[in-house]
Parts: sequence; C-alpha cells; structure tokens
Amino acid sequence: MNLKERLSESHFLKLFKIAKKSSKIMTVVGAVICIMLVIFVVFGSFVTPYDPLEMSDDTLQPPSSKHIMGTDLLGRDLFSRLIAGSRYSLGVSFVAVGLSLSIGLILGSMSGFFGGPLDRVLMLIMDSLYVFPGFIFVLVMAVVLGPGIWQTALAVSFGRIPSNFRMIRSITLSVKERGFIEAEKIMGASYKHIILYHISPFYLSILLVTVSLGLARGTLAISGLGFLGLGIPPPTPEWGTELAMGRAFLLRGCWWGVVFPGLFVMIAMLGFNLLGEGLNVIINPTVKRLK
Amino acid sequence: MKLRYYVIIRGLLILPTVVILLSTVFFMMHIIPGDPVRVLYGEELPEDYIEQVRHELGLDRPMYVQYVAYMSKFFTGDLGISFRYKVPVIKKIIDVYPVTAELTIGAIMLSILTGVPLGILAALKRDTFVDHISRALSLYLYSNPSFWTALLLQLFFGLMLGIFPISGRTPLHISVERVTGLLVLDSLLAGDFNAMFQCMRYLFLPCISIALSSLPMLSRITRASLIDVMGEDYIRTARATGVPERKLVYSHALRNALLPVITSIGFSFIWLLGGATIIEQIFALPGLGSLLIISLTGRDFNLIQGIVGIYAIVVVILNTLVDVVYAMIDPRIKF
Repeated sequence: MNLKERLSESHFLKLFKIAKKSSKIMTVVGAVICIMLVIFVVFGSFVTPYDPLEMSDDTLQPPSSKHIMGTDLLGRDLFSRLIAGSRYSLGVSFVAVGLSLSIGLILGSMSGFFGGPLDRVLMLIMDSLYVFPGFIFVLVMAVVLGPGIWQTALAVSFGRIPSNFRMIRSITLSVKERGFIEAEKIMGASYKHIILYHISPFYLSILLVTVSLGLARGTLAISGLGFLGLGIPPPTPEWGTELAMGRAFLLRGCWWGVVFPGLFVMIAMLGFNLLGEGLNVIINPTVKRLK
Repeated sequence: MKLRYYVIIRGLLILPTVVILLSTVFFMMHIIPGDPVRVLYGEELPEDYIEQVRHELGLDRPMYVQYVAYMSKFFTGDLGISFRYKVPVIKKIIDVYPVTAELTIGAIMLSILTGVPLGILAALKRDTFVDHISRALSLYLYSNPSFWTALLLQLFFGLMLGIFPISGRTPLHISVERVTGLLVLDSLLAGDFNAMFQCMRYLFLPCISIALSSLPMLSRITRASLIDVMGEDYIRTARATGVPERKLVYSHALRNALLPVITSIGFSFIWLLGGATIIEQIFALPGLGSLLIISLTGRDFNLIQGIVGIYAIVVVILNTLVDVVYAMIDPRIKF
C-alpha cells in the first residue's frame, strides 16, 4: 500500500462507509466541534462583541443581553475573552502536539528501526518518564521554563513525548520486518529513504487519531497550568486563567465566572475526543473488533 | 522462567527507573532560571550574605558534585533541608503524604466501585439504550476537566445546597489523634464514628471530582474486555452445556475479563496522582500536590526534588506491583 493510496479520499471514505453508525455520528459531531474551534482560533479576535482586554465599569455582572456570559472583576466581557482565549488555549495546544509528535516521530522511528543500544537506552528513558504522572512532569517543566506562551507549549509537549515515542516505535518495529523493507535494503536504499518513504506512510493512519486525542490532553494540561497560575500569564485571555479568576469570586455567588470558562474547555475536549475516538474506530481494525 | 525470578528481575528494574526520574528532575531543577536564595530572602540582601547562604546550602559547588551528593543521600533517606520551611524535606513529606494518600485511595475506590459495574452493565446490555447512555456518559465525563468538575461540585453541593463542606479536612472542633495520618482510619481506630463520618464528608467532594475523571477509562476497558471474552470459544461451549447466563458471566467470563482492568486500575491510580495536585489546591487540602505547587513557586529545590522523588518511587513500585499481580493471576503469561 503506497502513500497515495493511503492518503486517497476513497480509501478513507470506504472505511467510513463500513464503520458503524455510532462511530460515524461521533466522528461527524467531533469534526463539527473541531471546525468551529478552528474558526474561533483563526477569526476569534475579529468577531468578539467587545474588546477582550477593554475594562469597563460593569464589574462582575451576571449574564444579560448586553454581556451574554457576564463580566469579570475588571468589567471585561467574559464571552469575548473566552472566544479570544481559544487562540491561546487551543493554539498553544496545537504547537505542543506538533512539537511532541515531531520529537516522538524522530526518536521513535530511529529507535524502532535501528534497535540495538540506542533503542535500549531510549526505551529505558522513555519508559521511566512514561510511568510518571504526566501532569506533574508538565508542572515542573512549566516552572523550569518560566511563564509565557512558548514556554507553556514546550512544557506541555514534553509531557506527551513518551507516549508518542512508544507508539511510533511499535509501528516501526512491526513494519520493518515486512518483506518489502527487506527488499529495499537489499536494493541498497538508504536508511533515510526507507524510513521517510516506506515506513512513515504507516504512521499516517494513526497520526490523525493521535493528533486529536493529543489536542484534548494538551488543552487540559494548558488550562490546568493556567488555573494554577503557572501557564500563560495574564492579561492574555486563556481559559484556565479565566477559570481561576472566576473561582476567586465563587463565594460571592458569581457562578458564571466558573461555569463558562470550564464549558469551553469541556466542549473543546469533547470535540477532540469524539473526533479521535471516532476516527480510531474507523481506521484501526483492532478497535473495531471490540466495539 | 519461574514467577519468582520474574518478580526479582522486575524488582531490580525499579532502581534504574527511579534513578532516571531523579536525574531528570535534578538537571531540570538546575537549569531553572531564578536564584533560589534571592527568591527566598528578597532581592535587596547584600551580595556577600547571599554568597554565604549559597555556600551553606551547598549551591556554590559544581553541578556534578551536587548531583553525586544528592543521589547518594537520596537513597539513605536524607532529602536535604527545605529552603523555605527550614525542616528536613523527608519530615515535611511524611507530614503531608496521608492527605494525598487518603484522597487518591478514596478516589480510586470510588471509581472502581462505579466504573467496573457500569462497564459490566454496558457490556451485558450491548448496543441497547443502556449501553449507549453509559458510553455517552463516559465520553462526557472523560472530556470533563477534573478541576472544573470540582468547582461545579463546590458550587452546587457546597454553596447552593450546603450539604458538603468545600475546603479542609475536618471541622474545627474535631481532632483525631494521629496514628497513620489517614484521618478516616485514625478515627475508626479511635472508635470515634462521628469523627469518621465528618472526615468522610469532607473527603467526599474531592474524591468524587477525581473519581469522575478516572471512572470512564475503567468502565470502557471493562466493557471492551468483557465483550471480547464473551465472544470466546470456551464461553460458547459453556453456554452450550447449559450453564445459566448469570453464572456464565460472573464465574466464567468475568475472571478473565477483569485482567486488563487490573492493569488499568494501576494506570488510573498513577494518572490520578497528577490530577490530585489541582484538586488538593481547589479544596485547600494540605497534601503532596499543594506542597509541590508551593515549593515550585518558591523555587525550593530540595523540596521539589524530594516530592518528585517520592512520586517517582511510589509510581514505579505501583507499576511493578501491577505487572507482578498480572503475571500471578494470568497463567497464560510466559516470561
């Protein structure tokens, strides 16, 4: 199966047709949410009703027709801030997933393909990090790197590297034993050529799933860091920091400051999870058997 | 290979894993920007005094000397002195660990007690209304950030209904003598059932916020695994010989179906140790997670290394235990 065939629309559509109804619904709903989120990320700052950074005298207002999600302590419109915040919460998650996947891809494919001492050392390190609770690792990294958008992205990406590494390595291991790889080797193809053109196509099918599930985890980690005040620093609107701010006024009965930011995180995670799980059922034959 | 050797080898592997985790943390801590001494004593102190403090804390030695000293001390139980609290790190950790233990053990018990039966129910009523509802529910819960769940629970049960307290461990008027440090257990040992009830009330919301995020995983794995086992030949044979359906499920299928569940319980436990940091913060529980966050923001190197080291040891031992238990109960595993 070559790259073109794997990528071709008909191939995916064929799988989509034979997939069960429930997984189709999951995928479609997830995709719709994700498209909506991407629109927020790209056009978010143009469509907000108010300037997300503009303060006003209407402080801590409950939701009304003027401010549909209420306002915060500084009188900023919460809805505008949350829409604008998607760029940071989700955008940073995208960067983090991209980073962790690239590192996972490079290390995982090399480790799986070459084997030997390199593989053993990498495996030992990655396995050690893999068993450790990811969020604690991310917390420590976030403090080491300091506050900031890029630093947060880097910290979150580190937490995802071990699982990406393991996945890519296991695919590489199963592919490299096949006959056509052996044939390529005999014909004198370089390692780079084999990995790039003959093994990497096998990553593609699982990549979509990994990216969307990774985005869910990434969004969670970023808003968690923001919530603890260790992520993207204010006044940048970010869902986790908004939630932390809302929490400070929970005792005064300002429920909207807690309910809406969390709702955004939840919807984003639901979208990514639905898309990821749905695609997983459609693409991955072993999962289909279980469902 | 015999089980005994497997256990020994698996046990020996604990050491390199812990060393790698500790080294990672050590080197991460030492590329940290910000001088811990200045963070602690403020920026205005005279230079020579700061140098003196750095010397006393051993921070002026070359990094490899600090590394070797740290590693050799760690395994003798000496984790150094906390810069901030001026007490041995190990003492501070022993003081607070029961809070985290109580929270995570309570949470994992709640999620097992709800997640596994939910999974069994969904598998037995496969593709029916119950199954769809339970799967939708677990997907929803899976996507719910635990800190948001915690805040919503505080809002609803704490502030609106006033049934459960939203912060702390015990009411002020109740004091329990420390034996194990686990308040529920201590009050039970003291025979004080009122105190025990109160402690459980305080634990309920934090535990449930964590449990709600880990139970979807358990219920899904239970469901998938039970469906898988129910399709196997030996179940078909048993059914053909007239074993009643109930007995078929509970004594034939479930034993095998629960094998992967045990592994995932171990993983969930490790995973929820991470989630517990935020939950402790939200419910003002003075546990390891809260201590970690305080030490991280205060650049308290020794304390951070100590806490992460303890987490590493707990996690690695748990992981090893899961593997060993799995090998013991599944006769099909060959080493």
